[in-house]
Amino acid sequence: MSSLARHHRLPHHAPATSRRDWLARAGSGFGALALAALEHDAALAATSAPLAPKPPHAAARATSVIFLFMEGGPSHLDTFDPKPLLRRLEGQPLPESFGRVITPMGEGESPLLADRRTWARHGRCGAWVSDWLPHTAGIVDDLAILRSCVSDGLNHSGGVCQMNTGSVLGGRPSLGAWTTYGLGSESRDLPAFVVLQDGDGQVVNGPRNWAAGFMPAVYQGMRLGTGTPPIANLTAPKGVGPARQAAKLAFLTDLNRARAAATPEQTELEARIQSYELAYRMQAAAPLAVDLGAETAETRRLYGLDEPATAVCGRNCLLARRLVERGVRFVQVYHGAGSKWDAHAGIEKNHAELCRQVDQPVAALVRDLKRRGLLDSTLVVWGGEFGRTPMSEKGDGRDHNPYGFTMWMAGGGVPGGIEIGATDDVGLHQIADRLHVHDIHATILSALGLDHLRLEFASKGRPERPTLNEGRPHPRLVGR
Amino acid sequence: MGGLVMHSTRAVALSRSAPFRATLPVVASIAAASLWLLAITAHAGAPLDHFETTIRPLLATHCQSCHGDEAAKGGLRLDSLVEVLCGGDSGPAVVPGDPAASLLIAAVRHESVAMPPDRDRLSDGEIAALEAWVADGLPWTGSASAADLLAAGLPPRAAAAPVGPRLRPRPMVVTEEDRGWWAYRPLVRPAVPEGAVGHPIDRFVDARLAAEGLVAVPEADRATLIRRLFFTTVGVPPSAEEVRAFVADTDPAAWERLVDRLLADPRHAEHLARHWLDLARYADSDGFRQDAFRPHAWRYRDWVVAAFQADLPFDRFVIAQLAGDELSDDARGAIATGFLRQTPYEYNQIDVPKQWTDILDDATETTADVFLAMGLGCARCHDHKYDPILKADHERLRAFFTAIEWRDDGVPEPQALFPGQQTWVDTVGRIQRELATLRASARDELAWGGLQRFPPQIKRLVMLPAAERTALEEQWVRLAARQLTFQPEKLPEADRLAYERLTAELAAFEKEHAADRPPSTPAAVVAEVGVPEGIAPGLPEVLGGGCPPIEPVAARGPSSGRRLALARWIAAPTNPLAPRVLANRLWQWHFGEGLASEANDFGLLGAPPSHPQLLDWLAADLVEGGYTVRRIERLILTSTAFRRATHAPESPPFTLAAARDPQARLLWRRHARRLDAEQVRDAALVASGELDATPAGPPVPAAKPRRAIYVSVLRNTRDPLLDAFDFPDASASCSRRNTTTTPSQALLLLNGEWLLARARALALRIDRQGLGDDRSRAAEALRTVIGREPSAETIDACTEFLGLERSRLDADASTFSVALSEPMPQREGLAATIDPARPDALLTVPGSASGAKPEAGPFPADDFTFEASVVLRSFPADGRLRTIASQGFGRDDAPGWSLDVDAAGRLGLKVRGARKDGDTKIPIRAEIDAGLRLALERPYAIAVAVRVVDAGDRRVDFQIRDLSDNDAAARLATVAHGFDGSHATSQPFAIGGRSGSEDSSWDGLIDEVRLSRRALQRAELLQEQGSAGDAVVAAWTFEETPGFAVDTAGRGRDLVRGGLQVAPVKDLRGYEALVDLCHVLLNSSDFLYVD
Repeated sequence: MSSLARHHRLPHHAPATSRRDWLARAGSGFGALALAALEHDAALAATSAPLAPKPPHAAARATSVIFLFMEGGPSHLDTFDPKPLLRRLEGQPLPESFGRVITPMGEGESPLLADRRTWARHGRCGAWVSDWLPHTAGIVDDLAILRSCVSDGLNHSGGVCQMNTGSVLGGRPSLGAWTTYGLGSESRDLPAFVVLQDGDGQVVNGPRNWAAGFMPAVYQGMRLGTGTPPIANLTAPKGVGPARQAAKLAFLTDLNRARAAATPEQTELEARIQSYELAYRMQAAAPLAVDLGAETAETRRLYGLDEPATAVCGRNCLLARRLVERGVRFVQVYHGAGSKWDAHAGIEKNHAELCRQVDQPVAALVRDLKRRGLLDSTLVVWGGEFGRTPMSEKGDGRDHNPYGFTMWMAGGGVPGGIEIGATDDVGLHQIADRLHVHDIHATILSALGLDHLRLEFASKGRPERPTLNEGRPHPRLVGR
Repeated sequence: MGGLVMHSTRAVALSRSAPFRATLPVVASIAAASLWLLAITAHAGAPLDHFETTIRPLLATHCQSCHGDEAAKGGLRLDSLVEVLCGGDSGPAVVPGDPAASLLIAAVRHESVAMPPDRDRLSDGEIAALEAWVADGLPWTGSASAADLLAAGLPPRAAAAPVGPRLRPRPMVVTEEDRGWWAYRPLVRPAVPEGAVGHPIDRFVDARLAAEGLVAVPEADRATLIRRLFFTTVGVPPSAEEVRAFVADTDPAAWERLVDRLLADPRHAEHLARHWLDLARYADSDGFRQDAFRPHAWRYRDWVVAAFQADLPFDRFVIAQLAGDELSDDARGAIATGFLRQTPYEYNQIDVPKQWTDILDDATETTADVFLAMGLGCARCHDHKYDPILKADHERLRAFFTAIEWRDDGVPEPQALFPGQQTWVDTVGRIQRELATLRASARDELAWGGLQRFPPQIKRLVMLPAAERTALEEQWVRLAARQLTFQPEKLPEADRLAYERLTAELAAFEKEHAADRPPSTPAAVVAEVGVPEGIAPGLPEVLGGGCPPIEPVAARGPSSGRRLALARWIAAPTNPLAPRVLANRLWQWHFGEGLASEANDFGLLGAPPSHPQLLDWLAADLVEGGYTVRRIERLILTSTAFRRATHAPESPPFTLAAARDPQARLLWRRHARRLDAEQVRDAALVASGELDATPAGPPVPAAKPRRAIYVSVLRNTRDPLLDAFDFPDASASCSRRNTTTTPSQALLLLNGEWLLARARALALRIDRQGLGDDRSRAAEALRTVIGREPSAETIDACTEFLGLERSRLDADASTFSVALSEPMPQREGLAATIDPARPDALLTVPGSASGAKPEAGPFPADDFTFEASVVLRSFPADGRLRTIASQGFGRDDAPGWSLDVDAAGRLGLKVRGARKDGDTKIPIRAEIDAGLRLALERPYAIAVAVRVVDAGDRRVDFQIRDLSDNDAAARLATVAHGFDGSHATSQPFAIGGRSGSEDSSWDGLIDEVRLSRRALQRAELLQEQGSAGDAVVAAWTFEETPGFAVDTAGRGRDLVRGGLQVAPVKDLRGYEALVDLCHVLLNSSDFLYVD
């Protein structure tokens, strides 16, 4: 009776009632690891502490990843990959020599469309960047620009799905889920894998992009909204005051503890108690993580929070840094949620606006991480699900191009000021140093110290791996 | 160089498990000096760190693809220390401590053999690191030291092999040994073990336990058993009454009687069907970007439920799903082929051959997973690496399916046609054939809207006359045609006219002869289009190869008979695999874990069964018993093994078992299980008394209180509750759910509205029972949520909690805001709280149809007055309304009235109905803007008097008074209108929204509601302290006395909330405390787990 009647205290202050209990609470992170280790039972560890930190396969260069996803497919031809030939051939059909491709809108025969940009070389490395990205041009010496990216996804759904999960077909865990599975969580009171997006548009495929697929749901990403509360169901129901909520939780913990004590062999009952405690801590931690009030005016300016065009992306980039600082392992930032980058027509207006929204905040993120000493341990990845065609669409737009497009990486041990690969003279196909999505994923995992072929999850008895057994880390990107 | 850069932040963790050992003397005889020194420096303190951070990745990346578990070129493997020391054909790969003498080092330096070859040649740094490692004596995590190993003599190589299955040699040859694998062996019913007489399952299980020297725990208590049985058979918990009755029933046959009752319960079929739908990757939407709704997918779901309810023998169950369309004796069985239609579909994929390939692969692999527990996916691209499954096996199995096409048209009802119906079939068929001919003759690509996007190959095929397409090309064209719209205006003049004439003729005929349309059910099924050339069908080599006899059939049109042949082979009594697979699934569904734990993979990668003899016995019994599922379930459920307790007493026999078999694979005790997603949802609805047990039919939104199996499964828009509790993702067959414990679940259950609403409903249910004191209420809450009779200690604790919550409610400022009601600002007493986030916000009066005469409907259908006090907390989104009260008006053109506030705060009345004297089919309507606005968070008294009867005086009088300002005068508005009809409706009168519509909920407070059967004079209004006398229809004040929902006009027209009776809550504090207790109990492990 007495143990059930201690309603007044908060659950995370509960005194340990047994050695087992003490062990479950001991240590950092999800304390049940100690308990599991004590009992020499890996299966138990998996049920009761799936998020316990795990060692990587090899030395990690990065401990966190921020993936800036330009949803809809930004044009490489107008940002990072200038093609003078395109200007000479403008209006003509694609010469036979470049081969024929399938594009979703069937623009294989449409006249070529030249860019309208002013280009310059930037930084010590002299990388080409167009005038749409002036701030990004200022950080090129920190970037590895990947000009030879390739995907299998012809449409948005397959493309976004593959860039997230490795496959154009649904059902597989996303890269963030694999990372969380492989490395566990560094944060005691925040999820390990967080998703941010701009606007209210639904990201193509929806939450499937950050789902755990065939893995347990504990590894899936958690969407952090910009509203209050930032996480769904984070705050007590409307009208339930803090004292009442705490009392309910305390009583629940008492009931659950009594239940767990009756069948100590059911370790998941202990895990259930801890899940409520973590939820309780998240109620306090998550609002703090998203509270930008403590950021200086200079930082806010740096990210463009004071400009309407850049405020939304700036906020998400700044949030990404704050989350990484708090031990969040994988942050996925969607920009243009709902395929806003999908410039089938009017690419000038579309891209000018979107580039303006992202350019300053993204560059600010890299600069800010760097000056705080976080860039060494944080891998920043920028890109979309594919690039765009040199062939025009509707006169002034471009179709999808998964055959060769540009992404970039910065930090996390990736050497800066380098360029990898190339596309052909019209920017349709990659022609050197092919970087398939599987290679990109293997590279990201490698930065985190994970070997894409050794990271296995048994689904239906079969060993599944994040890149479907394909791809390899690019040697130059992983410092070999 | 990079390979040497040490980032040792994580390295400490790696070395923790291995004891530090002194290293062998370093022999630094080799050059590459600076790098070499760096390597030594880097690993000097921790050789195992060096191994883990540098050497292991290096071996894995550069060496093990040829010298590892997938290949051992030159007889050499480099994936364990023993293998390295044994070396390959050329002898030991290394001499520990002596890099210069080690072949491995010479090889990587390209001094002897050049390894890895040039394109992958190691960097100088990597070579130096390897040399340092050899010099160091080959430290290897988790292994005895090289020196010790060599001193003791190397163990046999097999013992050193990495744990896990061996790779198969290439090229793949399927051997007799492979065919002798436990799953593929002929099925021979094993003898039941000798010994104690009794249940055959127990004799197998107990014999095994005895052989291991283990003792099983006793049976669980009866309250536990009935709850366990309910969840595993019908998927919902027993009522407290059912528990009581069973606990008290001392008849030895009581258990078997209960088992039989529950197996025959229709809810059992629903529960089993959900297991099957996991396997069938069932969903109500396409997936991919558009995730379009599949309007007819549910017919397959209902077919599965009906099949389990009828205990359809499993052989027929299999045949219907793979080839129901090819069976001449069961036309509706075609719906079962929906099994082959659950594949995700991308509506705008123009790479048609690729998508068609994916569709066929999915059908093939799902069939192999579900019926044969063969993981065929690997063999899509290459021979399986571990199992004896050839790439060719995949291709041949796939060939059984390659003739299919997807159909969405009607499945005819199985009956003879009347003459009129025959005419319908003949005429419509003829016209449609002629239309098809005209479409096929179109030679202009523009005649097919959407075709322009497609690659030239597809364009060409679409333009090709059908007769000139191959079967495969025809399939591509039909798949592409799903994205095309035919545009007859692009046909040549004569054809266009013919097309228009035929279309008109068809429309006219269908209209005129509508009564003759033969009954048919629209469904997503498969049929066949013709047999594509290519690989011939055949069975996997390991299952005997060859091909069962295939005969074309003509049940629903010509069909190859391939799928029927495959299905019949799977379902044949001589097939040993299918009954093993099914028996294992049935075991898994009742024990939580199969006898073989990977129910979709009986190959090398799945674990072998814990009780192979028992599995074979069950499988044999299944076949011999006519393949009826329920028989085997009954066997399983009546065994003692099923009834064992989850907890083992702390005494020696059980501690021994716990040590030897902690996972209880030998079934000496049972595992407690967390409820599945559907069980969480359904059990909460059962506890709250809200469950709508209606079976079958189209899927419903999750807000409806139907069983979870009837909630829409949208691949991209998952229900948050089901998602959090591991509902499968419906992309591929799922044989076993994950079971997770996450903070998201905790947040959802403790803070989310859905479960809180259930707690409120449950608290109301208990409150209505009029139990005297907190102790009785606590006990009733416990019984309802957990089923069993609670212990006195638990009741004490809950009672104490109720008492403390009551006192806390006064201290906590937020006290009553989640209640049904809360204080009205600037007024005495309470008002009804209407929160649009709550699905049960709407207050309605049951049976309150309106009619011109009281006997037609007691509520007014012409003149009336509505009065209320209100507080508005938020404006609606643009284009929407906040409704104060309404009657009817839920759908387009539905009659009724609605008093609303729009996004700008404007008050208005809408009336719709039929003209009384004219054509009653023509709806008339009036939208009457009062010209008055409401501000947020301010209390107003509102009165609306409507006159429609008197033709000379059709007007609405509005009167609004701001209750927060004592000096404010009432604002008046009179608006004339032309509505001269009746707004009679069978829909109920509703406060706070519109019945049947969730879009226009009020947000805020509503109080002092009065409805009167005529347009009142100003002096009669409540605002003027007037009386409406006999004109009052009903009135509500939402006070504790006489009760929140009670009609204070004494007409007995009490309100219900969210369809639920709102009996008078006399003691709101007590009610709120009870809500909290119910909410806690619904969050508790006692509720979420079943022993």
